[in-house]
Amino acid sequence: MFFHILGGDIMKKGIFLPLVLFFLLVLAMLGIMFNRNSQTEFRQAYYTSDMLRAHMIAEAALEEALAETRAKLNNEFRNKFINGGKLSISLKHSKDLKSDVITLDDGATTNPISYSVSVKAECINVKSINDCDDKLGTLVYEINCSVNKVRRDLKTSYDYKVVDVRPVGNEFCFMVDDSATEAFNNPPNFFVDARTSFGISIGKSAINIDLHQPYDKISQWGPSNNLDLHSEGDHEKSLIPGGTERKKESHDMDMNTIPGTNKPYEKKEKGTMGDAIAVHGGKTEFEHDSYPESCGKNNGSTTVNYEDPGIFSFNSGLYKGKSRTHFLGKNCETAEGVNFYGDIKKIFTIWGYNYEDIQHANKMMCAKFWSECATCISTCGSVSSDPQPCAAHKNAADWTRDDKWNVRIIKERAELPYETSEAKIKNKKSVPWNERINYKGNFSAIKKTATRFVETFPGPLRDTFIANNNIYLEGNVVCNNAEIKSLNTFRTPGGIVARDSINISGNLKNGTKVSYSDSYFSGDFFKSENVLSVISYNTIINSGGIKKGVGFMAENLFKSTDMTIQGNLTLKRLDRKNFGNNSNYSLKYDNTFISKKYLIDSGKSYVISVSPIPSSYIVLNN
Amino acid sequence: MKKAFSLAEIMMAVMIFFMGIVGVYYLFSQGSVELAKSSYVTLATTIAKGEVDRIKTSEFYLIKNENFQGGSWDKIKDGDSIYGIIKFPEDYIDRFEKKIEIEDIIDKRLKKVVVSVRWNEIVKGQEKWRQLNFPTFVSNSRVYIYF
Repeated sequence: MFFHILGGDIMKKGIFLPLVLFFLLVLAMLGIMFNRNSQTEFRQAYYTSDMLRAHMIAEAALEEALAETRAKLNNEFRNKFINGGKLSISLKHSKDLKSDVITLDDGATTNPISYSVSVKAECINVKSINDCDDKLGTLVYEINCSVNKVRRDLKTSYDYKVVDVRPVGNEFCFMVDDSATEAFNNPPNFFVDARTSFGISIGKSAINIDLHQPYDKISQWGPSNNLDLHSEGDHEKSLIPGGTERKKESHDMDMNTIPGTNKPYEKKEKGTMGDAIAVHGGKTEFEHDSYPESCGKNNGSTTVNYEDPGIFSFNSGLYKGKSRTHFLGKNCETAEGVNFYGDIKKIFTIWGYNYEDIQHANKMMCAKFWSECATCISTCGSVSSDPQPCAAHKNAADWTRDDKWNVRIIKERAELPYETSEAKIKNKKSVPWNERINYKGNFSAIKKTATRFVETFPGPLRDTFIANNNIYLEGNVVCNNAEIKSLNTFRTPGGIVARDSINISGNLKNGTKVSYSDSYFSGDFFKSENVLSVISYNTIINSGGIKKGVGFMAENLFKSTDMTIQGNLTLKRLDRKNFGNNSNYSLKYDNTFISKKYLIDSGKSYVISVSPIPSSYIVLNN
Repeated sequence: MKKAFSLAEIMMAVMIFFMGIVGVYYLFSQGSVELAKSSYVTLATTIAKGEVDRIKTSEFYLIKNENFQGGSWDKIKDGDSIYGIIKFPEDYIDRFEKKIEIEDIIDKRLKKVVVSVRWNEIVKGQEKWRQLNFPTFVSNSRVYIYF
C-alpha cells in the first residue's frame, strides 16, 4: 500500500516530506505527552514522599507534644487535666528536624525541603469517675504540618484518667505536739469513738496507730491513764453524739493489769460505765514501759513511760487529762467507722520529716519535748550504740547550724501542711472516714479508675510492665485474681486491685527512684514514687518477705504469716485478720522504716494515665 | 521520463526524519528517566514507611540502634514482606539501601528516629546516590504521670 502510494500520483506532487513531518509530529506529540506525564509522575512521587515526611513530622510533633504534656503535668498542666482547658505546648525538637532531612552521605543529592509545624492541645469532656475526685477526660491534639507544598493536618484524641492512687489506709496517727503548753485539748476534748456498725466494742483495741514520735504516755494520759467517752465530771452528758449521761465511776489505774482489765466503757444502749483503767488496749511486742534512749529520766529521777515510734495500739474512749494537740498521721489500722474527736491535725505529707543525716532522730524529737534535755545527755549517750551526741542531747543554744536547720525543717513540715480539725471539733463533728481513707467504694467503682484490666495479675508482659522483677505500674491495674511472686521492687505509684484473692509472697519494696537530669522535665513529680496499693475485695494471703511502702487493704480477710509490713494495713473489720500464731500483731517494728522516709505519703498521689491508644485519629486532609 | 525524488530531496527527508526521531527518542527517554526516577522515589517512600511502621510497633524500650541495625547502610532485600506486596526485580531493588538512626531526645521518654533511604541514579553517565531522609519521634506512651 505504502509503495503503491509512493509510486502513485501523490508522490509525484512532493507529498513525501509532509508525510514524514506529520509522522514526526505525531511521534513528538506522543513523546511530549509521555514526557509531561512522566514529569508529573515524578513530581507526584515527590509529593507522596513529602506527604510521608509531613505525616512523619506531624506525628513527631504529636509524640513530642505527648512527651511534653507528660513532663509538664505536675506543675503546669495538672489543673487543666482536672478541670479542662487548653495546654500551651512548644515543639522545640519537632521544629528542628531540617538538619535531619538534609544531611546526606557520600555526596548524595536530595530534593529541597521547607516545613512548618504547630500544635494545639486541649483537655475536654472532664467528668468525675467517683466520689474521690478521680477524673476522666479526653486530651485532644491538633497538629498542622506542611512540607514544601504538601500539608498534613492530624487531629487525635486520647482518653485519660486522673486517679488518686494513694493506698487505702488510715491517715491518722497519734503524734504529740512539742509545744505542750499550747495544747488545745483541754479535757475532755479528745476522745476516740470506736463504736462501729460492725459491733466493735468500745474499750477494746480500736485503733493501732503509727507513732511518728516518741509518745509520752504519762504526760499524755496522766497517772491514771483514764480514757472513756464522757466528759470529766460525774453525771455529765456523754461526749459521743447521742450518748447518754454517765454514771459516777472510779478511774484508778492498775498498770499491772494491762491489758487484762480493759477499759470501762459505755454500753451505748444502756449508758452504763465500767471502770476506766487501761488505755492502750494491750501490750504489743514493741511497746516499752520506758524509753531509755530518749531522755528516759525525767529530771534524773522519775521514769517516764515512752512509746517508741511505730505501730501502737490504742483504745477507744476519752482522754481524761489535759492533752497536747494530737497529730493524727497515717499508716494506721482502724476499723471503718472509728472517729476521732479533739484537736486533731491532719498530716498531709510525711515527706518533710527529714530524719536523714541525723543520728538519733528520736532523741532529737525528744529534745523538742523537753526543754531540759541537756540533763539527759549522760543517759542517752551511755545506752546508745553510737555515743556521739546529737542534737537531742544538747541545749538549743548548743545546736549547730545544721542541727537547727534540720529541726527547722521538721517543724515547718510538721506544722505547715497540717489541716486542723479544730473547727469540726467545735461543731461536734467527727473527722469523717472519707477524709482518712482513699476508699473508692466497691469493686465496680474502683474498676472505673483502672488504667488496665487483666484477668489474672500479672497477666501479659505488656499489660503490667514487669521487667527484671520490677513492677512498673501505671495507676490501678484491676484484675480478678493476683499472684504476686518473686518480685523485688516496684517503681511507680499505683495499685493492684483484685476482685477475688491476692496471693503475695517474697519481698516487695519501693525501688530506686527514677530521676531525670534533663531540665526539660520538672523533677518533683517523682516524689510519690514509693506508693503501692494491694487491694483485695476478698482475701489477701501474704507469706514471707518484707513489704516496704506497700499499703494493703482487704475487704474480707487478711491472712499473713511471718510478716514484716512497712506501710499501711487497712482492714474493714479488725477481726478479719489472721496472723498465724501471733495472736495479736506480728507487725514487725523496724525503726529504719521511719528514719529513711519509706512511709507512704498520705497526701493525694495522683496518677494521670493517658491511654497509649488514641481514641480517635483523624487525618484532616489527603 | 517520470519525475522522481532527487538525491538531495531524499537526503534532506532522511535527515529531517532522523533529527525528528532523535528528538522524539530524547523526549521518550527523558520521560522514561523521569518515570524511573518517580518509581525510585515511590519505592524509597514505601521502604521508609515500612521501616517506620516496623519501629513504631516495637516497645519503646526496644527501640535502639542495636535492635534495628542502626547507623549503617544496608541493602534492601527483595521480597521483604514489610515493604508491601510487590515483588521487585532484583536488579531494581538492589540499587536501594536503607539506614536507621535512633537517638534519645529525652531519656526514656522521647526518641528520634531517622529513616534514610538512598538509591543509585545515573547522572551524566555517572552513578550517583540520591537520598531521602524521613525523621520522626517516638514517645514512651507508658510513661505514667503523677503528682
